[in-house]
Amino acid sequence: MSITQVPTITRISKPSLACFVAHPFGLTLGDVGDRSLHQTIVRQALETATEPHPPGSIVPLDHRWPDDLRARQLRKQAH
Amino acid sequence: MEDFADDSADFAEIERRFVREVVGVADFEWVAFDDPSARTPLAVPLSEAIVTLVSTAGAHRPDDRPLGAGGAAALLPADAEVQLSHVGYDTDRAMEDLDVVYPVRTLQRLAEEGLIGALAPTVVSTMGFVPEGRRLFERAVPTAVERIHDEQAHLALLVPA
Repeated sequence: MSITQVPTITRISKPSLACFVAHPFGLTLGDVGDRSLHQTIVRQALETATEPHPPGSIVPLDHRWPDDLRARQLRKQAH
Repeated sequence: MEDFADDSADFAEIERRFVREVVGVADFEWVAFDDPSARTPLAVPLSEAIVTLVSTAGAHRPDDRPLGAGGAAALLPADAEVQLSHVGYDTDRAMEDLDVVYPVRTLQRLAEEGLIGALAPTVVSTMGFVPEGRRLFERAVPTAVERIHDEQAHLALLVPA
C-alpha cells in the first residue's frame, strides 16, 4: 500500500494500490503539528488497503493544501 | 484513467528534464512497468495486522552517514532517534515534526486505538531521490522484503516525502 503525491509517476511505476494526497513534498501527511490530519490520512490509507480495488488503482483522498506551495514545487519553483 | 483532478500531470516530464539537465544524469528515465503489482488480500483483519512503515524520507540514525542516492535502505528500530537527509524537500521543516513524512507516532497511536494490530519493530528507510531506479531493486527492495517477512508483517505502508 502506497501513499502518493504524484499520480503521474505512480502510473509509471504501478504499485498494487495507492492513495493520492495532493500535499506538498516534505509535508505528505499535513502541516507540522497537525496530528489530527496526519492520523486521518494514515487511517484512510490503511482502510483503503482493505477495500477491493483492482491492482494499480490510485484512490484520491479529499485533502487539499491551502496555499500554492505544492503548485510551485510541481513547477520546480519551490523546495 | 481514474476520475479525479491530477495537478501533477506535467511533473513526470518536468522532473525528467530536471534530473537530466540540472542534476546531470543525462540518460535518466523513470523505471516503468507494463502491469501493476498484484494485490495480496490481508490475511488477518486490519485490527490484527502488523504494519511495516516503509519511508522514502531519507531517515537515518544521527550518527550514521546519510543514505544518499544509491538506493540503499536503512533498517531502523521504530523507536530510534532519526535524522532526515534528502535533497528533494525541506528536511528542516519535517524535523520539527517527523510525523509529516515519517509517521511512527501516528501508527503507534492507531495501534493503541485498535485500528491496526501493531507497528512492526523495524522501519524500512530509503531515499526517494534515486536517479538510477534499478538500484532500489538491487539494494533496498531485497533488504526490505527480507525484514518484512522476518517480522511477519501483514501490510507495508509506503509513505513518500
